[in-house]
Amino acid sequence: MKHNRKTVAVIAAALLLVAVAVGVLELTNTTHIFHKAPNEPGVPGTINYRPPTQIEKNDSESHKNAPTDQNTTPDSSTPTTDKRAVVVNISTWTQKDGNIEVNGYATGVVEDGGTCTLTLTAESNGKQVSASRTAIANASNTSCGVNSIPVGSLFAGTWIATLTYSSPTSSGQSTSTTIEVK
Amino acid sequence: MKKRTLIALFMALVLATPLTSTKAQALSGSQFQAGNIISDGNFFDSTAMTGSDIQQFLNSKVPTCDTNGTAQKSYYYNSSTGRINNSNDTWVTTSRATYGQRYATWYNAHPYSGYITNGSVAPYTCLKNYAQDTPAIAAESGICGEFTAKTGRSAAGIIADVAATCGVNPKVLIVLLQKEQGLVTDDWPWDGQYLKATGFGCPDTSGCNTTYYGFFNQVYHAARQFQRYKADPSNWNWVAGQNNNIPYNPNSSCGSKWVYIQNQATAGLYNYTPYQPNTAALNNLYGTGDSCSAYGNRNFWRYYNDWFGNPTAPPPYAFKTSSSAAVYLYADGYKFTVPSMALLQDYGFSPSSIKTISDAAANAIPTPGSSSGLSTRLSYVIKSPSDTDADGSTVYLISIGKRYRVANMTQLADFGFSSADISYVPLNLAFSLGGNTSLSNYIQAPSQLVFKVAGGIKQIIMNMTTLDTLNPSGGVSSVSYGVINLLSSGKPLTSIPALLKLSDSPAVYVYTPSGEYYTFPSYDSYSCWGEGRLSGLSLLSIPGTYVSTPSSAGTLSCVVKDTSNTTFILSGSTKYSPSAAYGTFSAQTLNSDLTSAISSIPTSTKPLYQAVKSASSVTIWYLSNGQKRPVPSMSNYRLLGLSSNTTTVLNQGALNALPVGPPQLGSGQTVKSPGSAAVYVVVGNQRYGIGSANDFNAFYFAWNNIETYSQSTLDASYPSTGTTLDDYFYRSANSTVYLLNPMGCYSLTDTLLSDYGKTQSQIQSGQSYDATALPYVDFSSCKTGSQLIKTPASGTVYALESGQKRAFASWSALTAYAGTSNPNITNLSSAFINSFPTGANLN
Repeated sequence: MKHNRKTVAVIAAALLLVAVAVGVLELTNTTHIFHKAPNEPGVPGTINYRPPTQIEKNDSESHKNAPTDQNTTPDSSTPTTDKRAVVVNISTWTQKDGNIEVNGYATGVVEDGGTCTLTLTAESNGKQVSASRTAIANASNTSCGVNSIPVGSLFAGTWIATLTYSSPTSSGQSTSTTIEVK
Repeated sequence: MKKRTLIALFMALVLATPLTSTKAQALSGSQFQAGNIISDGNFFDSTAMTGSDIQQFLNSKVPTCDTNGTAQKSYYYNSSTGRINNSNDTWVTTSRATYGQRYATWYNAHPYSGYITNGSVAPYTCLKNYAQDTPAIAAESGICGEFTAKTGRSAAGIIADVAATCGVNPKVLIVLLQKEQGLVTDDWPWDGQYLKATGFGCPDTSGCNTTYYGFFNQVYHAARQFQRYKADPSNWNWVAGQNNNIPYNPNSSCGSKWVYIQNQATAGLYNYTPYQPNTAALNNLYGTGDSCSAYGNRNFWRYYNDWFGNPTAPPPYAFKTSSSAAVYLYADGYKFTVPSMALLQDYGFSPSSIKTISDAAANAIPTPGSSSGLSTRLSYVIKSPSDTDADGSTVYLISIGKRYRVANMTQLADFGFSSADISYVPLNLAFSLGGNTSLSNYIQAPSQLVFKVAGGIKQIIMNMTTLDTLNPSGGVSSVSYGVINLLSSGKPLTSIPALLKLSDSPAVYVYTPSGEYYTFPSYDSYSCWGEGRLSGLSLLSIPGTYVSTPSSAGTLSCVVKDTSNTTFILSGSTKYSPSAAYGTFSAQTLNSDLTSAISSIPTSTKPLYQAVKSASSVTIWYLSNGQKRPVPSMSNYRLLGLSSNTTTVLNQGALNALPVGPPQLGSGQTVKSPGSAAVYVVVGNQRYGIGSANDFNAFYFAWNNIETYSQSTLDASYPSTGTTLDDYFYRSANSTVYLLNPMGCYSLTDTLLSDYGKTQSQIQSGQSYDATALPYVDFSSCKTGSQLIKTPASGTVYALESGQKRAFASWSALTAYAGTSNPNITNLSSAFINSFPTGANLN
């Protein structure tokens, strides 16, 4: 019994010291009631003025490491007399205001003046309807914008859409996209 | 110490230490919504940061710029060929400067598509220090405003300029710079990173279009491009409000996914960077995914969250429904009860900003659950649920749309709050409030009144002198009446005595540093104490609710005695110390506080004259015997020797405060009482009888100048000496005795006095009054007296000898006696002559 009481007293005294230490720390902290947060990502807030995390610094560093593990070869984009092949994508389509509207873009080139041509091919009978428009330079690709074909020149059913891009330097064609005309 | 005591003490200490709360959840890739990366409201909020905010932010992300590239860098290097970054070679560590030099040497000799070696050689310029000249650019309608040319514009300035001119959130531009080129956190950026800072004009699979090279050029074209997307959505690839097929990677074999894009800002991001993160990229949000991952839009979303909070959250707003008066605040997806309109305004929302929404819409907004760590109700003190988020564990006091950092639990208690009063709210809500300055224990109401706050009580500070003394650092927090009214009121604070009026009561107080209220019993005393001015300060008029109920420590008089026992008559703008000759005035004894108070009322440079009057009355008062005594007539005014130059004009209050004494009569004033014919002359504070009409005439008094006073007044203020003025008068001015007689006044030499049966010493010693008793006798015009006398009406001439009169029997006897044929004979009244005993005739 006597031993137990002593043990309790020792534990209590230790806890007391910890508590006092915490209390002293708090008293010396005049700016915040609680301890300052560690640097931690993923916190909703407005402006985070903390120093950068290691992950963030690594992002910056990555811009100086490239091209890692590449056999350095001469720039393959050096202009040649042949047109460069570019990838063309259909990004969205919709039937709106009596038209079939198809948007798309050419990747790997940023330029104005190329031509985008939308071709719709009827799955049922192979009828083709086309529309073209001039492409414009986008931030990291070349936009065809919206190519419209009046629904009146089509008929209800399944159509296959393809988009081609052609400019003095580049050309390419998208994969097919199935469109249901109503 | 007993076990129970120890445990209790421990518990008390634990409870006294700060509260802890749930930790904020880290951002997860599962929160990414491909169709809603950022709201239009956030994306196009060009006012979200000021230029200095931006500079401060850039500074924080590069604590030290490694300008000379002295930090270490590890990489693959072939010392024979100079090849770098090839894993077949040796892994080496050198300075960054060496790496940059080797990089330039190798890649200049072996160009690789898309990589620029510009600026890889030290020194390096960090974004926080970067500056360049910027060009003038004409405005484009609906896109960007006009740019004017600037020299040496900082990166922060350029971001601010472009954000403002092209209507894009500067946070968006900052995140763009980081996700494209890592420029924000780079402590040794290369020129090449600046040249393509926002990746504008840079296809994924080939080199950049050099037309858009340069930092300003990149930031400007990026912001402009987002506005072009918005101005004409049909010109571009991705369209808001419909399904869009968005690839995962430039490699088309990685596939794509149809996404309904919810807003223009998100469509713009895809137009700018045409990939969405795949599952692998989202599962490892802070790392890499797989070979089909693309990170541009993921990193935009991640950086925006980490640096500026949830990009899709609408800003907080107040709402109610048409079926209820209850008002709520929306923040971060939750609704919070707003207990009062005053509190809503303190959160920065005007009553007119309250949106009315349908009950269904209101019900659809959840109240925070207990697991969120949030409160359901707003209060004046707030904290985010996390101790480890962007503001640590800061508690704020909210007022007038600002947040003030509460320093510690003591300060919280000073403002009358306990930890139980803290509302836990989303950090976004706290951060939507401006300010973020330290809360001062000195607070200022909208009326400019300043209070000291301690122990839940506010004490109004009455003047700047006191504020400067109490709070030399000068920090004062502006708060609303809502906060002011939360605090109970204590006694005002002043380091100098000052005048205080409670605006809801007519009472005016002199309030002292020791916290005592002294009242003015009348307007007169208020007037003589300066009428609203004391200590050079205007009267402070404040609502009675701003002070604890005053209890008067005493009233204030206009006649006071300071701690050094000096008596002062307070006369508004000045004060006088009356001469001791004016008697002892009944005065209020002042303590040291009030002595200090009157020290601020200047002492008059002119003495207090014995005659005083008010500015508005002709009545002249004479200060005497500690009283003000009316001077009843011009006769007395003259007899008292008064003039307008020696009359002090006193404040009416001061004058009224002086006790009224009996009429002040001048020496030489003749008086009588209504019930008696006896006429007296006033000499000092006594009156002497005038023995007869002859004497009255002999003394040159005028019958129409006799003033009538009540017997009691005369007896009380001018008691009779019981004696009358004598015919003989010793005039001390020329040590000469005069005989005053209805027939005239005569100077009498000692010889003649002997003839008249008198001596000078006898007359002098018997005379208790001075010449002031005889103001109208012109001694200079008195004739020289004679031993020979007669009455005007009789031919009998007498010679006076040792007080006897002896008649001359004949003219010849007279001429023989006088030794001249033209003897000097003095006419005297018969009564006077008859008063001498008669001796033998002279023959």
